[in-house]
Amino acid sequence: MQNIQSDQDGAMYILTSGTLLGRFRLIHLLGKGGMGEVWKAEDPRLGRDVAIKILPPEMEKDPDLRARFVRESKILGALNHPNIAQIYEADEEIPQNAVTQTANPLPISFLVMEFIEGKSISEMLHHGSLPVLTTVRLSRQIAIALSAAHKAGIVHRDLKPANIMVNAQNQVKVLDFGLARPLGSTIGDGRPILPEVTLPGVVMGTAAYLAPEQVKGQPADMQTDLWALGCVIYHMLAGHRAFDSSSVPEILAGILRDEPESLLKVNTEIPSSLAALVEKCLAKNPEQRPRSAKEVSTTLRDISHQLRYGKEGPGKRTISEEAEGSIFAPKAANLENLNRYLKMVSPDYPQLPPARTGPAFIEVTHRGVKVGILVTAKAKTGLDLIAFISPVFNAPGENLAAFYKRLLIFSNGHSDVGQFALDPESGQVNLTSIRICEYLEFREFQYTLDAFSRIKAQIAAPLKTEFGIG
Amino acid sequence: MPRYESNQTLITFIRRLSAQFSGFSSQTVAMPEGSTQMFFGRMVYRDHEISLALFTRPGDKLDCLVLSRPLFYIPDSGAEDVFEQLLFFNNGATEAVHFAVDEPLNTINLVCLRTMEGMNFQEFQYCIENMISVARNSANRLVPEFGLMRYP
Repeated sequence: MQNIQSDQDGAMYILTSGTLLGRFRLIHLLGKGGMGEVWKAEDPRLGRDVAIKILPPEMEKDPDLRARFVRESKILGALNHPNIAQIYEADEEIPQNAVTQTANPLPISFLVMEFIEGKSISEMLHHGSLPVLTTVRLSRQIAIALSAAHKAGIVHRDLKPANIMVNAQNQVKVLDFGLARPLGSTIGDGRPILPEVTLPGVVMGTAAYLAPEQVKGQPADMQTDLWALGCVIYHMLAGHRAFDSSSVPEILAGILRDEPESLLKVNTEIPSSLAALVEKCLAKNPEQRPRSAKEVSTTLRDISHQLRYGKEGPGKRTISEEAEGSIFAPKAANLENLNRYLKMVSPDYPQLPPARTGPAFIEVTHRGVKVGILVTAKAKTGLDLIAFISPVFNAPGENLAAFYKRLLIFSNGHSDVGQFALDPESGQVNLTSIRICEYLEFREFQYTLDAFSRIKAQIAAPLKTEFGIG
Repeated sequence: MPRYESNQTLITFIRRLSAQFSGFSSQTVAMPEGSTQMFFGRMVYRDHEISLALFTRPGDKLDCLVLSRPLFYIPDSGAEDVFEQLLFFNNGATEAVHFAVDEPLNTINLVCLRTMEGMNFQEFQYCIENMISVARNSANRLVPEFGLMRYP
C-alpha cells in the first residue's frame, strides 16, 4: 500500500507500509479525506497501535493553518474523555523509508491519535437504519462527548457518521474534534471555506450535516454541533440523511429551505419525545435548538429509560419478593419506638407523625447532614421497614460509567452501613440504608445516623471533586 | 478486633440455619480510619455460597458484619446501563441487601452490611433469605436484559 504526500515545496513523498515518521512505523492507510490521510501505525516505544493523521499538503503551505493545527492539537490533547478519541501528540518529521523526489525534503506535520478498533456509524448505516434503543444509547454518548468538548471551549464543526467510531464494547469515540474547521466553516478571518466542500469524496459526507449558519458562511458554535447531532440521529433512525440530494447545491439549498420528513412517519417505533428532540436540534434558528449538549444527553437518558421500562419508569420495578406488595402504614408501636430513639439522639429532633394510611416521614439534620427517615410496612412480610435517605449530589452529565462504578465500589462495604442509590425520578444520587424496624436497636439507629455524616465527608466530598460535580 | 461474643453469636446463627461453614480466618485489613483485624468465612446455604466478614471499624465500638454474594461478571460492553440499573434497584427495591461492585474480582455482588449490635437470629435469617431471593430475581431479570455472565 502506498500513498503520495507532498511537503511545503510540493516535493513528493510516497508513503508506504513501513515508512517511519519519527518513531512511528506506518502499517496501512485507514482513510483519506479533506482533512488529510489517516494511517494505522505502530508505536514501538509503548507497544501499541496508533492512528496517524497527516496534515494535507494544502494546509502545510498555509502558516496560519499549520500554527492553528499545532495549537488546537495541544488543546485537544488535554481533552481526556472516554467518548473522544484521545490525541497523544502532534509532531513534524521527515519521513524515513519513503520515496522522495527532492534532495532536501521538508518535514510533514502529523497528529498521533488513539487507534480505535471498530466501525464508524457511517459503516453501520450501510445496512440501513439502526434500532431505536441502539440509536438512543449511541446518540447519548455522542452528546456526552460534545458536552465535554464544549465545556473545554472546543466546537467540533464537522460532526458526521464517518467521524464517529463505535468499538466492540459499543463505546462511542468521536474523532476529529476541532480539526475540521476548514471544512464547511469559516477560518479565523471569517473567510468561508465552502469551496473545499466540493472536494471529490468529501462532498456528500460533509455537506449533508452542515448547519444553516455554516452554509451561509457564518461562524460555527456549539449550536452548530447540535444541528449536526440532530442530523446524525435522524440518519440513524431513518436510514437516510435528513437533507439528501444528488447534488451539493441542492443539499445546501434544502438545509436552508426545507424541513426533513417527520421521523414519526418514517418509523412508527420512534417515540414522539425522540422525534421532538431531533426536530429541535434541526431548528434553522440556532437559538431555538437545545441550549446545550448536556440538555440533549439528559433528554436522551430519559428517553432511554422510557424505552427500557415503559411509561412507569425504572423506579417502579422491584427485585425483591419482600419488596413486592402494597405499602401500608407502619405499626404504631414501631413509630413510638423510633420516636423514642430520635429523642435519645437529640431532644430537638422532630417526631415521626402518626401514620394511618401510608408511610411516615420526617427529615432531621444530624451533624450537619440532612437525613430523611421513611417508615413503611410491607404486606408480604408483615415487617416494617425504615429507610434512611440522604441526597448527596446530582449525577454528572458525563463519564457516567466510571461514576456509577465508583458508587458501586464504595457500596461494597466501604460506605459503612450506607449504600449509594439513584433516584430514578430526579437522577439524584442518594445515600441510603434500609433496616427492619422490629430488629433495630437504639445503638444501631444512632450508628446509622452518625455513619451518614462520616460517609459524606470521607467519600461523597472527594467524589464531587473527582467528577467535577458542582 | 471483633468481640468474641459477636464471633460466637454468628457461628450459632449459621449452625441454626444448618448451613455449611468453613470457619473464620483472620486478616489485618487497611481502612480509611486505620487498620483493623477482620474475620473472614464462607457459608453455603441452599446452594448459595455467601462470604462473611466480621470487623470493628477503627475508632468504633460496634462490630459490623458484611455478607457478600458475587452474582455476575462486569460486562465488557454496556456497563453504564447495568450500573445505572443496579443503583436504581439500590433505591429501595432490594430491602435488606444492595448491589455493589467488587473491583478486584470484577464482579457485581449482593451485599448486606449490618452491625452485630442487637442482631438476633430472625434478622440474620431475614438478611440471608433476602439475599437469596434478590439473587434469584436479579438473575431472571438482568441476564436476559443485559446478557450478564453469571459468577460460578
